[in-house]
Amino acid sequence: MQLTRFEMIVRAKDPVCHAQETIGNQSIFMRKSVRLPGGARAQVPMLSGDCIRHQLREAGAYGTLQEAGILDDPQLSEGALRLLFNGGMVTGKGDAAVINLERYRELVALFPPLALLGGCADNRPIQGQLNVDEGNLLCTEMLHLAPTWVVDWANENGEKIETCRASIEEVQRVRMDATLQPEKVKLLSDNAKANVNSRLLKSEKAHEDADSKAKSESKSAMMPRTHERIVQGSLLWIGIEARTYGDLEFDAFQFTVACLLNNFRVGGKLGTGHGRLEFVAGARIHFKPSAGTLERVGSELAPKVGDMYRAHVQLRKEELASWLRSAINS
Amino acid sequence: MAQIRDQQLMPIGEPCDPARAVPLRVVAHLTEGIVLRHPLMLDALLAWAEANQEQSLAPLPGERHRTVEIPILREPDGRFHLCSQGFAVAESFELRYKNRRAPWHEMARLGTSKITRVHLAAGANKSYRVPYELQLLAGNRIEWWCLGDAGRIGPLLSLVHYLGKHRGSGKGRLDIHEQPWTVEDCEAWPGFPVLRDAQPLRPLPLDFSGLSDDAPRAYRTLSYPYFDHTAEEELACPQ
Repeated sequence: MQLTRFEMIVRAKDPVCHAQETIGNQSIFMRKSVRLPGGARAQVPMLSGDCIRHQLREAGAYGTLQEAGILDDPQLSEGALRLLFNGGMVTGKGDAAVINLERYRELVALFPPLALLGGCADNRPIQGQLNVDEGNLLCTEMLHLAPTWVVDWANENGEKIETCRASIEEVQRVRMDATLQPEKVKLLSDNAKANVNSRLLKSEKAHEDADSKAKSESKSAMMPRTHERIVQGSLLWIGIEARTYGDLEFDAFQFTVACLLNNFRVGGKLGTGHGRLEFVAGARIHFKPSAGTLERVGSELAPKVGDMYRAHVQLRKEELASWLRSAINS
Repeated sequence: MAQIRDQQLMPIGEPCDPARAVPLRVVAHLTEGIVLRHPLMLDALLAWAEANQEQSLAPLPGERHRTVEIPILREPDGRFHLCSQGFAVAESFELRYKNRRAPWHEMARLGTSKITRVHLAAGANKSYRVPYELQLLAGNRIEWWCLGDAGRIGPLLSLVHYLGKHRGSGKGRLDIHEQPWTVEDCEAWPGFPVLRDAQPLRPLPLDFSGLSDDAPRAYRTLSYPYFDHTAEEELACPQ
């Protein structure tokens, strides 16, 4: 058994949105309580381990499907999709997958990322071999918990470490109502134009009469809202640790991490320029009983890793495609 | 067939050598909050570390499983191991959520044409958002006491880097860069390590010698795997 941990410093290439809750029209960034030296507590923004773990699952699944040439004409069953992207489910009916244990073992041999991330087989969930830490901001509140090499890297590179409050900003976005814009109203049919004008007149009258009920009924669909986000360029560190039982599984782990780093995106509002993260520096730790050896890694974490895993997928791609398209359907 | 079955039921690990067993205090040093439903048991962690090296699947509740021997002494009747449950003081609590969303986007893009509808409110693809409580512990540590072989306990515990539930998403992470575990000799007291002032420091059988009659009782599992609720019985438990 090999216990391996990757730790990475990543930079927010875009602002990052990762909401914890919404209050009215305001979305609040996810935070956690951190115990500071001396016992005081601070609320520090973070990326949840679940969101990074899910991205890792997606990256591994897409990477493998691409290597096997399945992405060109996927045709996957519902059960296969749920297994690849959600880890499957414990019970199911009809077309919903029921993966029995024997089949699960076969699939793990075909598709090792499933063993790393865990999944469900018939009547039991099978735990994964992967632990994904929360994404922590490199800020003064978290400095006492940061790995030594991360602090050293920041010092060597002259990175100024500030309070977490400097890494969070609040921005406002507005969904406009096209019916408020005269040039757009010209595009409407006569009937629709009459309706819009009637609503505008009703709204004006409600305003003059100070009639709040009528005002509410005739208000436009324009929606201003605010959200908190991590400032572009902020630094975070993340950790991913796996137990692997063999060279192929270890290579599959490296391949999955490399796929993630190749296009690392987390959080919401991805369609509007949020969420891209960029690998900056990394360390790999191989644990042996009672000791760990840390080595700085850089380019090894690029997609060139995973040669053994790629060869495995190429060799068994027909079998994998057959499994994913039909066998996980009973 | 019988040979395969016997092989499958062969014990994992070596039992503790009584000559090497000394009173020990074991401390886990955490860097994150932890999700606990029950106190953590040291013997269960060691059994996991032993079994994990053989890639042994966790048994199902009620299922016959292989005996796992660990470097902690068993009590004279051999029913359980001489170690306390984990003790920690929760300083504060946080509400967190576990979410699942059906991969409907992938179903549309990668799925077969047989997938025509995805029902997100019920059935196999139902989305969920399950709340759970994260505890922040005083001093970020959990303590146990046991009678065992420190030379074997340390290496086994070094394989354990996360504790509690939701470990896959980073909860219960130990301080692996500094000192994740401390295993040190300690002074024993009467009843060490399972009794203090005749009160239990772990679930104990009601007939256990030296146990006070007024010890709280509850239905618990006496030895690992503790998640096997089919093995629950009435035991004296810590408050």
